[in-house]
Order: sequence, then C-alpha cells, then structure tokens
Amino acid sequence: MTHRITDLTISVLACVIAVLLSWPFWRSYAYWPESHLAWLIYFVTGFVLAVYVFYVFIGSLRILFLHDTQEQGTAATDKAKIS
Amino acid sequence: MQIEYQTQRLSLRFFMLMLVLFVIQVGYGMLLSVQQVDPTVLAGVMNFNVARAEHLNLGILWILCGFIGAILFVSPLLSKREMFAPWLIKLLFYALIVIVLWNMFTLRLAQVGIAGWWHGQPWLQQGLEYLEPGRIAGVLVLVGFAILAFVVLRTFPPVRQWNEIHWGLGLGVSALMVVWVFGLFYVARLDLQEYFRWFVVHYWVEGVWEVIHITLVGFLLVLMFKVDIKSVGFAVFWGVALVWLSGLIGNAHHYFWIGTPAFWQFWGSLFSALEPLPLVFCFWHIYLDAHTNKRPLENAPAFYFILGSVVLEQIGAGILGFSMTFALTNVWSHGTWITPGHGHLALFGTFGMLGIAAAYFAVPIMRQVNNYDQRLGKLGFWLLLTGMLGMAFAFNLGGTVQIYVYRILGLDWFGGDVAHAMGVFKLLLPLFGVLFAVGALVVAYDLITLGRRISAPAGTDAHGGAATVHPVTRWGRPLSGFEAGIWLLMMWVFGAIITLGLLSFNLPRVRVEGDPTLPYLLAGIGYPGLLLVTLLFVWRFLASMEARTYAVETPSLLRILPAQA
Repeated sequence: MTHRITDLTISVLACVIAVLLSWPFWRSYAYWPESHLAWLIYFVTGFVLAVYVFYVFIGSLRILFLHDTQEQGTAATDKAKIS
Repeated sequence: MQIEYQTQRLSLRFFMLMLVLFVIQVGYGMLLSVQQVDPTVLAGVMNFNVARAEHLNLGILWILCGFIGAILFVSPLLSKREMFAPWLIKLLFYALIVIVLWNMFTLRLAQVGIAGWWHGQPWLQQGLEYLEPGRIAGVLVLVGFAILAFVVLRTFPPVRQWNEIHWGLGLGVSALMVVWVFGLFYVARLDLQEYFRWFVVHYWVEGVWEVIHITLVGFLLVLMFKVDIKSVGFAVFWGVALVWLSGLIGNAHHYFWIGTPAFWQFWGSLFSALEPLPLVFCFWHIYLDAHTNKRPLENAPAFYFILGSVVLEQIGAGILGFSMTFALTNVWSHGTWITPGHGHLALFGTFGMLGIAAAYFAVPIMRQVNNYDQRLGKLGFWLLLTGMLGMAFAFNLGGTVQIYVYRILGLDWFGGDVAHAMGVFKLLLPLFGVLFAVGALVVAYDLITLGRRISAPAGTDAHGGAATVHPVTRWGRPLSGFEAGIWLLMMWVFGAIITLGLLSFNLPRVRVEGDPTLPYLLAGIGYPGLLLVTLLFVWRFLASMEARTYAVETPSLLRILPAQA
C-alpha cells in the first residue's frame, strides 16, 4: 500500500511539472469556445491518463529490478549447491 | 555459436546492402556539411536540397535493411523452423535494390522540377520531406513491407504459442506496413498532407521502430548473455506498452506548428514529457541483462553497438527529444539545427547502431568465424560514437545561435547573417563528419571482409588484443546499479539545463531586450556536459565489461591487481 501511495504521489508530481511546462499554450479555448466543459474534460482526461502512464512505469521498473534480484538469488543458491 | 537454420543466411545479403547504403548515405552527409560551409560547392550539379533528400531517404532505407536482416536472422530461431517461402525474401532483396536505385535517380529530378504527374499523382518524386520519392516507390515499398510481414507471420508458430518477443516482432512488422499507407495519400491541402506525412515518419520512429528496437535488443541479449527469456519478455511487454501509452499521444508534439488545432498543445506537451519513460526502462533492462552473469563478452563489437544504441536512444531520443518537445521550447527550436542535433543522435544512435549490432552478431555466425579480430569493430564503434556526439554538439550549439540570431533578432535567413553567426559550428560539422565517415568505412570494411581476412593473430585473445595489455584499473571495476543510476541522473541533470536554456528564450530579457547571456550560458554548459558524460559513461560501462575478459582469463592476476590499484 505504501508503495502504491508513493508511486501515485511521484506520478502526480511529475505530471504537474509536465502540465506547467505546457502552461501558456492551451488557454485560448480556441476550438471549443462554446463549451468550457469540453475543455475541462479534455484537461482532466489528459492529466489522469498521464498519471497512469507514469504510475505504470514506476511499477514495471520495480518488478524489473525484482526479477533481477530473484535471478541473482537463484544463481547464488545454485552456486552454493554446486560447491 | 553455430547457425541453426539455413534460411537465417538470407539475412546476410541485407546486412551487406545495409553497409553499402550506409557508406553512400554518409558520403551525402559529408557533401551536405561541406555545402553548409560553402553553398557554391556542386551548385547546379547536386544541389543542397537534393543531396539532403538523398541523405534522408538513404538513412531510412539502410536502417530498414538492418531491421530486415536482424528480423530474418532471429525469426527462424523464434519459430524453431526454417523461414517460410525463402524465394519471397530473395524477391524482397532485389525489390529493395530497385527501390533504392529508383529513389536515388528520381530524387535528382527535383532539381529540374519534374514530378512526373499522371492522373493527379506525382509518380516520380513528390518532394515531401522524408517521403520525397513518388508514388511508384511508395507502392513498391508497401509491397515490400507486405512481403516481410507475410513471411515473418507465416514463419512464426500459431498465435497461442507466441511469447512477448513474437508479439513485439509480429506487431512491429505489421505496423510497419500499416503506417506506411498514410504516406500514400495525396491531399491537396498542404497542412493536411503534412499531418499524414508526420503519421508515417513519426509513428514509425516513435511507435513502430521503437517496438522492433525493444524486441530485437531483448532477443539479442537473450542470445548473448543467456538471459531468462521470461524476464526479457516482461521487459519487452512493458517497453512496448510504455512506448504506445506515451508515444501514440505524445506524437502530437509534431502538430504544434503545422496548422493543426491548438488543442494538441496540451496533450502533445504532456505526453511528450512521458516519452522518455520506455527509454529509461530500456536502459535499465540492458544494464540488468548485461549483469546477469559475469561472463566475458564473446562478441564485443556486437555488445558495444547494442549499448551504443540504448545509450544514444536515451540521449538523442530521450533527453534531447524531451528538451524540445514542449510547446514552450518547441516554438523556438522547431525547424532549426536543434532538430537535426536530436534527430541524428536518435535515428542513427537508436536504430542504426542496432542494425550494425545485429550485423556484428550475425555475420561471424553465418561466415562460421569463431575467433575474429574484434579490434576493427571496436575502433569503428568509438569513431562512430565520437563522431556522432561531436556532430550533435555542433548542431545543437549552432542551433542555439541560430534561434537567437534568426528568431529573436529576426535577421535575414538567406542574407548570410545567420550563416556568419553559426560559422564555427558549421565548420565543426564536417570535422566531426570526417571522424564519423572514417568510422563508417572501418565498420563496413570490417563486416564485409569478416571471415575472409586472417582471423585473430596467434598469441592474442578473442578480442584481438594481446592477453597482457588489459590493465585492471578503477575505471574497469564492476559497474554497480547505483553507479549506473548516478550516470543516468547526471545525463538528465544536463538535459534539464538544456531544457531551461530553451525555455529561457521565452524570457522578456531575451525575447524583448535581446540579451542572449542566459540561453547561451545554459546551452554552453548543457550540451557539452551531456555529450561528455555520455562518452564517459559508455567508456566506463564497456571498460567494466572488458575487465571481465581479463578476470576470467587470468584469475590469478585479478586477485593481485585490484589491491595495487
């Protein structure tokens, strides 16, 4: 659970930075001028999707390292058995 | 390692064609760099725009040759049977030669304004950047991709038996063909045409080639280090997933300034920022796989180029790509020399180096050379790596000056003001280009003649070096994950400085008052720092791998020397 909260927090923070870097260029409401709701859905959907991508990245990277640790553990056990 | 299936040999001709096209492409690149310094060179004979089109198109074609060679080499291994319909592969090879010759000939028609219009279609050349050749070449390329996808998919076992590597390659070869279809549209509205052109160029590079790259890197590492295929399968699955989760929307950064709706600027910026994630993932994947055992490198040049591919992907596509794809930085950098700085490192680094790596892995096996002199391959790698990093340095710093002089001061593009300001960097380009060209010739000579020269001389190790000349220094000690992480962090710190440098063009102090101190200072620290750290990291990584050879072959000395160091 702690892992999930940490990963989610990092993901949200990273995406906030990404949003700030695109700040001035999406405020014109030029293409759906009649519907600020459409813009709101667009921003929220984009942000949630981006947080998800970052969250998936952290999770998969953690498992990648776990695989490595397990393989090293197995190799060490095999080596001990041989000796 | 012995060749297991006779049809794997079909890949050899594609690797050889790749090398020939690579050398010709580098030749065009050299000409372009000279024309940058003196625009009158070969003016009227081979104009800059034509040479550039040849350079770009050959770049794509030789990399595709490398991909096809690598895919043909690994497909029978993945399928545990011979390739389906080898005659189709032979046909594909000759078709590829026809496409190359057709391309090279018809692109020159641009100089005299002939596009060969017939029934509203430009059949000979159409002049769209990256997709310059006309409809005939386009249709032939589609047929070629269809043959490749058909043969690979028919060779593979039934879908229920596929692992992640089958899926990666299967999706890769299918998508290669499907995405190309967008290049066959002709739309009268130029902005819409640009939109579809970018579909081909960038969904290929950021969506399809990345998938093939991750899969091939994974499988080559399985073959080289005997890595557990399940772990590699996991890395391939999440690598592909992250490429598509970030890249499919992130590609919108190409829509910022081509007349497409402005709403792309939010999603484009946001998801572009996430596009380096699969590249970071790939970086750790190769580090972990290379360290699953401590065995010496049997085929050092193959691993050198795989590592080069992953590291330059991190630098060129990841960091330099990241720095220039926000709407706020891209507004200044797009279409300047900043773009080829990123493009050269990303395209040659990621995909070109992988093709060469696959060739170095496969050619000795196909030529049945067990112990070849690996010194030329290593020399070629260092020349290519240093040359390419140097060219990126020249492009990026030249691009920074170009942004300031051209975009901030608004001086005349064609009047020579920009050319004078960028003079030093225009001169650096052919200088590093020579280094790169020598590397290309060394690699091409080495691979083409491999197995036909005298192999490693007596008294030398498998790498061609005398057994006693490998000192174990601190630089060659084992590379820990923590240290690799620090190197990666250093690269990204310099990447952040570069990004801030591009962002600083938005400041009133620079944009209104015309003070270039901040962007010049940040670029002056960021680019040399990034490229130097990259060079040192590759050196450090490879030194640690080379030390393994020494450690295994001379275990008694290994126990003594670290204590002396």
